[in-house]
Amino acid sequence: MTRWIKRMGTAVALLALSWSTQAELTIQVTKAAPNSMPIAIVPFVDQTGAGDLSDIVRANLERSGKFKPLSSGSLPSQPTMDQTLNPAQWEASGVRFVVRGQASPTGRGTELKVSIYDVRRQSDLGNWRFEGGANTQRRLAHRASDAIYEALLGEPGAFDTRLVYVSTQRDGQGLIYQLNVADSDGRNPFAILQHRRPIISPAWSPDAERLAYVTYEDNNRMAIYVQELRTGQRSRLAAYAGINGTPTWSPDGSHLAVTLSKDGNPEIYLLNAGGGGERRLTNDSSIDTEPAFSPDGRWIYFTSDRSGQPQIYRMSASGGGAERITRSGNYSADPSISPNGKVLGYVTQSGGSYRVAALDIGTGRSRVLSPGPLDESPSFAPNGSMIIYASESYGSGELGAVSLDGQVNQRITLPSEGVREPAWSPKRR
Amino acid sequence: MKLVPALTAVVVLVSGCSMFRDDPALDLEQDLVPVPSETASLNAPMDGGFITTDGTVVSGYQDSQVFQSGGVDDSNLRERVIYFDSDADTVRTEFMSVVASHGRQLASNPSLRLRVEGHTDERGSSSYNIALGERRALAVRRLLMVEGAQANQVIVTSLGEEMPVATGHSEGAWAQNRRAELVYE
Repeated sequence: MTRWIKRMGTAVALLALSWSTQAELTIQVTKAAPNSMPIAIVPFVDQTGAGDLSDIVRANLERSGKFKPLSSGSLPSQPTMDQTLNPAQWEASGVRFVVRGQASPTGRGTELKVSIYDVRRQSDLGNWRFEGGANTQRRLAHRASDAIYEALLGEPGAFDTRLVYVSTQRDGQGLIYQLNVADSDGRNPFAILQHRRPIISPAWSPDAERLAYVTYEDNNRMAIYVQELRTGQRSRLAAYAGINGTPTWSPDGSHLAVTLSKDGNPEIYLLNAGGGGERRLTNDSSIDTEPAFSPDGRWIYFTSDRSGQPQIYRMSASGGGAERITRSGNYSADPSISPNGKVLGYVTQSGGSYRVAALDIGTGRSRVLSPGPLDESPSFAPNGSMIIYASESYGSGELGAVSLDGQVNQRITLPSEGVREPAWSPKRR
Repeated sequence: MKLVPALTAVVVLVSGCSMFRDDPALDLEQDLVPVPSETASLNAPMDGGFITTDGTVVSGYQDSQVFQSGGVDDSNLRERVIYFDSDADTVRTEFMSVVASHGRQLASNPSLRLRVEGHTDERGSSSYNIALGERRALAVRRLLMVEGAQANQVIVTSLGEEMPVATGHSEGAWAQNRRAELVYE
């Protein structure tokens, strides 16, 4: 049960709520990669009393769908980092790599040392040391997971990241909307805003410290807000007549592209991140919405129905002529660009089913990734490995995630609440 | 909360060496604790407002009065929902007289303010649906103005697919959700 907040004189109270019993996302691998890598993660030595961090690393690697960690019960032995491994013993267990670790207290917090042993080469593949202040143990484990993932797969991990999502609960008076932030594994959920009116389109700043989002709290009118996660401080970025929607940050964090309809129909505008400096980028009698920057900041991809049906276009980030990017089908919307700028994630419709697809911007080839029939809001993990999306398929709303090669599928749910509007944060600092 | 500059020694290292690669230290005294928003504006009373400790809503819609038109009770004024066809923003013939009645109501009561909320079904991109919802609300607004409502009397807002009245995933539910709602403010 979620506990509601106190509404004191000011809304500082607003979300004192969720420290109590905030529901956690459950992330379940529904399909793992066929060639997922067997790996041994030996329980870490814990000198901090905070608990064994290897559980977090094991769960991370398993959840990625790309690793098959041995269960603790099937480890042939549990050597510490100082002890010599017996390669034959591990080879017999079917693993090539053995991860060991040790967490120790430091003057200011915790130190986590981690190593990967290569059974075939009979030597360490790598060693890392992570250090953090008080209460950073979970983050240290996520950073260690990122290092292991990258050392073994050659691409960065995305474990030390967060998710933002909107949860919905229904009571006698209708829906309650809540904006939440959680770690990439669903843990440490925090509610940052709750309202009877929808909260939509949360977007991470490039430093992963701020969120822009849209609410209807101002007398039922749409408005775009920016909120600092550390301080809770927020400011209203836009509250014009009509639509104030789809905020998205420029890669350097200096601007946001938004949709405003104040001049008659939905157009894309650029605003200074601190407010003001409004500049109109599109000028067309059709719907222009859902801007998404390319990672180099050069392009803005967006949805427009100027051809009669929604399709995805791109224009220079300073506006001007637009080039159509999606060419097939009669419905393409909600662009999200991969961190390397090469892949467009979007929603496509065929046969009445809305699914997430990925299009290779260079070749124009696209591939449908999600099962449908009501998938939307794709958002790339900051390492480009997966796309998280919203799915209405099972009732009140849940999330899914799929790897770009389609090999790994996750189902992401909240117990007895709906969940939608996911966005995966950039890498944390 | 204070940020302490991180230490960033990085020793890159492979195979066999006993040195550790240093990760930039986490520099957070109190990590992972986003703080709730604080702003006075949240305190304003509003429709369907914020939620209090005991779970009650601060204020709900107060929109139950039926207005009188020319001394005659116009039953059309009790109708506050206009339904739309799939992917369409044309007001269907059957709803013309309802919209017209509200338009006349506004024309003869210049102090009245009406909010037209556009809604869509759940299919497709939620942000694109916001744009579609606005088209529906604007279509209703145009008809209200044909009957003499003034521009400043009719405010348009779109909720897209965000506030369904029917929760199923069938054409029956979708048809109930493709709507414009008239709310006197």
